[in-house]
Amino acid sequence: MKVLIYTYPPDYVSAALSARSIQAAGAEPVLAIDREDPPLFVEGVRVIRTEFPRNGNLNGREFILGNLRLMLELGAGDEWVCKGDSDTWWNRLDWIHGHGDVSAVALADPGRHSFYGLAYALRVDRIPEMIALGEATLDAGERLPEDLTTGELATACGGVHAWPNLQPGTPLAAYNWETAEDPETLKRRYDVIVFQRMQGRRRRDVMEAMKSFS
Amino acid sequence: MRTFVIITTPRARGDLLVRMLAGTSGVACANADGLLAKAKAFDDAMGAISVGAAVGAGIAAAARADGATRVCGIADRYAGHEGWREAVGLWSWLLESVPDLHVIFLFRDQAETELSMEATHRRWVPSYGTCSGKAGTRMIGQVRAMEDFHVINPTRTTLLDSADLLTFATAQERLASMGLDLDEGAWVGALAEVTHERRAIAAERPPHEEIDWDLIEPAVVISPRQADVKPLPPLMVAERLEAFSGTVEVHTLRYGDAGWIQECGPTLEGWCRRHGYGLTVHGQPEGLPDEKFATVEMIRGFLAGGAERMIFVDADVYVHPSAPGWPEEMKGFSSMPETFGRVLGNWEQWQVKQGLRCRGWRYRNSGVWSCDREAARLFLEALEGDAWRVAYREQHQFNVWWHRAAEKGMVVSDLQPVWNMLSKVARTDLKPAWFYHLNGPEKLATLKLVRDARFLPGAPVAIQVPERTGIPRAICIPWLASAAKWDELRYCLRSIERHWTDRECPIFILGPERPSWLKEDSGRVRFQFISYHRGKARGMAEATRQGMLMADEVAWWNDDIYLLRDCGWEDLRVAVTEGMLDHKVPSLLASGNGWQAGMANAVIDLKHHGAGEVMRYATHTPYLFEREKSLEIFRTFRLPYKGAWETLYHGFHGTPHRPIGRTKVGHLGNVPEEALFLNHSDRTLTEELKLGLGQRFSVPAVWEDPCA
Repeated sequence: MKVLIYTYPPDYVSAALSARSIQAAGAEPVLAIDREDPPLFVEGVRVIRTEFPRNGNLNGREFILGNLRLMLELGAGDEWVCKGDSDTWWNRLDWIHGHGDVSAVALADPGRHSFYGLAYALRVDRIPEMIALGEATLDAGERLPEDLTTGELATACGGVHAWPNLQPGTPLAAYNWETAEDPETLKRRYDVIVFQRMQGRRRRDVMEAMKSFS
Repeated sequence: MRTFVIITTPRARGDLLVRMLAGTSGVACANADGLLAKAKAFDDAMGAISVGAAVGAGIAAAARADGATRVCGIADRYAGHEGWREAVGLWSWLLESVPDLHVIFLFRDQAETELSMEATHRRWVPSYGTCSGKAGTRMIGQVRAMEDFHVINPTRTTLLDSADLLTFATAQERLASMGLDLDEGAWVGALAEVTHERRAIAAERPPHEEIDWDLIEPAVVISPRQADVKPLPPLMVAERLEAFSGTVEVHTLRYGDAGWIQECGPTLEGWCRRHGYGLTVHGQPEGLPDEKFATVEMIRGFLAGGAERMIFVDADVYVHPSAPGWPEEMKGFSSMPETFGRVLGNWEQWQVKQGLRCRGWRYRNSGVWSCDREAARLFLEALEGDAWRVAYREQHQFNVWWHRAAEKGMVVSDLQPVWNMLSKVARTDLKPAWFYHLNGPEKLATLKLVRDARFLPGAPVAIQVPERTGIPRAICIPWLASAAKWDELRYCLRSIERHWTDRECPIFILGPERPSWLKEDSGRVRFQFISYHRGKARGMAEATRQGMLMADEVAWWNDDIYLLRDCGWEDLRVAVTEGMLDHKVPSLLASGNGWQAGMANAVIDLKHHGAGEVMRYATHTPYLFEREKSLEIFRTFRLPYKGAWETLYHGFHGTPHRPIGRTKVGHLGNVPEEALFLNHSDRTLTEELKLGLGQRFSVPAVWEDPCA
């Protein structure tokens, strides 16, 4: 199974660490850099350069359709293909499986047809339907966040298993910077952990935290 | 053939590494500055990665033709010096293009504060000089980029601290881990070669700065050229002359509570006290055409007494804290010739108006003067029966009487400007002086100008002195949670618990936040709250004030200092030093680094207080301070400086000291027997070191809360 991570120079180190966690979890990371970004070499990790515009932080019709097409290409031969963020740490892939015939699995807010882009999985054979729906319904120029919009397309094309955010038993979580728990405990408890720049933390803090999980 | 590339930060001893490797059997290595950038530019232009042709050609050029070369490399300085985007792009291109290439990132630890970013001879191994702010920032950025790229590519890159090149054991071990077999002959030869070259170049040019470079010959002294460093005036403190040994009485006219009086008054009193001169402060006189004519009565009073010499000092004179005694050579009536046109022009006109003519007389300032008994007698004779004309207060009239007395045989000597540095001179041609005469309306502004130019030390700020605590000895550690990079304090304290021989003395943690793992009932470890709400500098100043006065003896510690073997108070009584500081003052001031500038300002202020050569006591090891001596520092010097306390304390009190040698180390590999302390910087706090410290001090201390 492939996991696609869009990254850019300030996040190259985190993306590389995320990629290593994906490898340890048994999947194959693919790092995507933008057309104007400096090259990136990461030992043992595939790096590709995308040409479709990101419109800031992964936005817009072109990006959403470009992402789906890329994920379809990467997912060829697999049941699932994933997308993650540069600051996401992957421990296991169990959270993806055993949810019936849904088109996507993701972390989401309860009661909303949405999901967070930190980590989501798409069923590969549903992606063409999602692309067709997107081509028919998405407007160019409109502000369309990649994660919410992909979630809406997946919902319309077979449904989403939404792991409820901040609920007990949900195996995806944001790292609590004030936690007293050690990395090993957190790795056992969660399948996916995202290190967000919040509570005053900056990129270097994220990097150091991800290194401590290595 | 194995290939490698050395990418270095500026002044990271890349030249030295190349020579060491080049001198090793089977290894060829050459300097090829700019090769990588050119090769990449070539590939970019070609629109494809064909770097084998470019870099490979460069590496092949460095290979020996004898066929015995097994390992071949090039060194390219500054490749990746333009920021992360440039660095990651260039280094990624390199690794992708040359399979199996290994990159050695050679850097210099920022803890080595002597760092030169100035343009020096191209074959210099790093000299110790200035590090300008922008260049220093770029270099730090490059080192960070190296570390980050190493995280991304851990097996294709190696981080090498250039300090590891300076001992054979560490150099050999580090290079062996990369498959490079360094032999001792090559190591010795490279060091000797570079040292010889530097000496040869230094001999051609006048030395500006001395450095100590502890190589295979300890205390090898090299003098690099630092042409771009703006030198400070050669004398921060005026020259001393032989002082008069007879009895002296000093007079001044002072009244009111203006700010400048509060500044100047105590300095004159201190000077008189130091030299045993009697001081008479005259209050506001009455019934005189100008108050300054009261000096005539002072002279009469002097003659009625028994002193051999009288000195008059205006109330707006600020006396340097190291001002020596009044010079012997000031015989007769001594005053300073005035050199500025306005008062001189007025003097000529005034003489004509008054029908006076002081032919051949050189006009003098009456703010500071001295006289002996014979000169006083002749002066009083000269004014007898004459009018007391007010012009420039009493100054014009005094010049008339001085001239008249001189014509009757009174000896007149020129007081040097060091004893009467006028405001107008200070503003245009400031030089070191003993007496700064703040004449004119902008007295405090002139004083500030002199202080800002470092011709006077900063004035100490009064502190609130806490009551003696009665604690004989304590360890004090200032701690800011937000500045912690890891769990340094925890392991620092564990090392103290294990190795500090005084098991009873309290340990104070001073800061705004209590460590979360410190038990409520933590025994000898005590948390002392220090408010940082007015900023880090003020918080630290308050921590210093409280900490230094916490006990009769204080061991001042930082959380990045760990004990490696048993030691105690006696081990700190002789301070450790890292060379001398005097000659480094210009470069430290120009470094753009607040800590280094603080150390330089401390040296300057010590000089102002009469210090001889100042050693570098700031060694990132524990320091021992005595409460009463600390109080004297608070009362004598302006604080806070970053990086200055230990310099001021030990420099002022003349603490016995010795070279630090190998008392302190920066890592846990091959720790010498004599090492007592380990200290690291943020940069050298590697994962490896954290692991090592964690293993070495794995047992929680009794004051640690196991639930935290």
